Amino acid sequence: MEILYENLKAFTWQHCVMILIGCVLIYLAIKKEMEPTLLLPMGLGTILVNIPGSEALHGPIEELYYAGIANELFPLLLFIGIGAMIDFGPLLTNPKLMLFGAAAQFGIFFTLAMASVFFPEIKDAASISIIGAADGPTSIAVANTLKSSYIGPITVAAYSYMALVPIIQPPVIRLLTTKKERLIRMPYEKKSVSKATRIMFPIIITIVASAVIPQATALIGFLMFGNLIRECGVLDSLSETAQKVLANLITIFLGISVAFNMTASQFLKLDTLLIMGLGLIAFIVDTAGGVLFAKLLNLFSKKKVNPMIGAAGISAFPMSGRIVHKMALKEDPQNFLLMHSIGVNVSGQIASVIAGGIILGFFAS
Amino acid sequence: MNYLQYLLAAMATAPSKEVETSLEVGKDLVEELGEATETAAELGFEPSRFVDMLSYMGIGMFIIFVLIGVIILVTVLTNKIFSGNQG
Repeated sequence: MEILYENLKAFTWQHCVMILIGCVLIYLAIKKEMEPTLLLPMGLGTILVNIPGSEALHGPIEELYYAGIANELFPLLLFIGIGAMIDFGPLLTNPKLMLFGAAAQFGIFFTLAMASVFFPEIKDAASISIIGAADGPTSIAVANTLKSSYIGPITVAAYSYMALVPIIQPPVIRLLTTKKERLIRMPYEKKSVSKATRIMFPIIITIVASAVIPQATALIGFLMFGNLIRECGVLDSLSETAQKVLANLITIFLGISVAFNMTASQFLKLDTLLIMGLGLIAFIVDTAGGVLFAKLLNLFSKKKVNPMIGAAGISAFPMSGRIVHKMALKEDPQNFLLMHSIGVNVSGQIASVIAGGIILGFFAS
Repeated sequence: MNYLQYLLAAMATAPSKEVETSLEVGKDLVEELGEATETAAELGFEPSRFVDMLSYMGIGMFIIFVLIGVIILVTVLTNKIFSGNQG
């Protein structure tokens, strides 16, 4: 009979809290539909690894972790799928929009400086700052390469805040813009982009970014590989596989194997709260950076841009682009910013990967 | 580009990086002896480090803008060269 309750005696309040956190993640995924593809497997994985004596922790989850996260394989494979899903068309018709994507990465470097105040290990501060990339695979890849001790909280923060973009961004945008600025219209001139340009674009980005920042080669290369499969026109079945089967499969493995770092001993620390706070700061400063850059450009430009599109420069694609578009419609039902905001949003994906590479270039030994 | 590589190399050889490199080598040795640990250093509060990191902020944003600028230029050129070959 002892065998029935022997393991129950090993439960501590920390295990219970982590199991509750796992349940909350599952609730947010299902009921609130917040990034369900990641939060649900992470939630269940959190429950699995916080049962005392769990064979899942030192069994399949550990195997998956070392098979795909410790060697950065899963995030890179997921990038192939993400690259295959992205249409760079709106960006290619107006390449200047990429500047807003660049500006919106300011939050990463600001958070790097903030995090270094509290975290003495530079690898941890740098890994925390990359939450501002608003890109799960980049966050995992950078934190893992830098061998940060906080991969679990960083991943939870990155994906949670990505899902909370509709709540985080609008107040920041309204605070930094006037009514008059939010009403600026940006007519969209439809231009077609040649197939050659669509094919050359991922190749150009890979060469340019990797030549300067070799540490970004894997991140940018796999993303652009996925896009090249999509745009080449001769690999439709591979493109479809990458967008659906590959992306979904890797997402399942990634979500559950990240839970390896979600044990009570690793997660329930003051550090975790601090990381969540710094992650929020990163997102807010990212948004502010993009908006303020757009306002700065307006000082020197005859053709004004609606500064709200700067906020779409974070990598939360396509949510951020849609949020900006909806905010513009709310101010003026005739103001259609979607093509501009999506173009900026897509550029944010590129810029965030470059920023991740720069962080690795600075701090990876 | 040589200047950017110089900047990156300069950052890589900054004194704080050398200390971290030494720590990393030490840690590798400990792991080889089978006593690997992954414990994080304790939290601290050193506001002066914010100022120390401002250089990374400046250089990082500079590199991003330069790279994005180059990508924009090349994209515009590519658009112009291949504008006759639609679809």
